[in-house]
Amino acid sequence: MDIRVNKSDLRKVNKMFDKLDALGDKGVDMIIDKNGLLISRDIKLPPIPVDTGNLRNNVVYNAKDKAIESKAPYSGFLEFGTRFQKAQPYFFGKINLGLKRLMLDLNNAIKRSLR
Amino acid sequence: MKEPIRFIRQKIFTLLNGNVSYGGANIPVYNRVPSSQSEPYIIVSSADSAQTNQNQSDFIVECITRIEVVTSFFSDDGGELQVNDIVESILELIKTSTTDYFDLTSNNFNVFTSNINGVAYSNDDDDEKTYYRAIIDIANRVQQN
Repeated sequence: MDIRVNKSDLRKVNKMFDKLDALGDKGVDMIIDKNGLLISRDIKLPPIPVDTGNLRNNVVYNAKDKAIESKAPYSGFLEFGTRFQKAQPYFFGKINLGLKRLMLDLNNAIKRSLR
Repeated sequence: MKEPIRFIRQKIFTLLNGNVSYGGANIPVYNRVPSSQSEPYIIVSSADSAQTNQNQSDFIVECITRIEVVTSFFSDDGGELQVNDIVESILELIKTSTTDYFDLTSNNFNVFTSNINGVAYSNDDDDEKTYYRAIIDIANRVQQN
C-alpha cells in the first residue's frame, strides 16, 4: 500500500512542528513551575491539618525535579491514616485538581503556538 | 499596549452573576471566594494573556479566562450531575452563538474570536465531603482599537 504525501501538506506539517519547537522547553518549564507553585500554595490552605505549622511549612515545590513534596516525616500518616488515627487527606486531592489545571494550561499554550 | 483581560473577566462576571441557578437557588460568582462561602459557587479568574498575531499596526492579545465551578455533597449524597448542569447554564450564557463575541467597544477593544478551549472535570474527597469541580477555559482574541 502506498502512502503519498502532498508536498504542500508536508510543508504545513513541518511548519507546525517548527511552531511547537518555538514553545520550547523553557515555555513548558515555566508553565509547569507556575502550576507547581500554585499547587503547593493550594495544599497549604485548609483542610491541611495544622497544630504547630510544621506540616504546612514542609510542603514545598522542588523546581529542579518538578516535584511537590511534603517533607514532614508524618505526612503519610495524616494523608492515609493509621490504625491509631483517621486519615486527614490534604495532599493528593489538591494535586489532582492542580494537574487538571496544568493540562489545560499546556493545552492552551500548544493551541496558541499552533495558530 | 493595554491589557484587556480585566474587561473580559468583568463581562463574564456580569453575565454570570445572578443568572446561574440550580434547584431554585442562585449560585454566587466570585473572583476570590470568602472562607465562609459554602458550595456550590463559581470562580472567575484570569489564567493567561499573551500577544499574538503579530503585525505592524495592531496590538492583538489572546486572553484566557478560567471559570471554575465547585459543588459538594456530604459523603455519597450526590454526584457529578449538578456540576454538569451548572456548566451547561454557564456555556449557554457565554456562548449564545458561534459569532457573538463580548462587546468591549466602550473600552476601545475589539473581540474577534472566542473559543472554549476545554472543560475539565475532577472530584476529590475530604473526611466529610466529596467535591466536584469543572474548569472551563475561554480564549478570546482581542484587538486594541
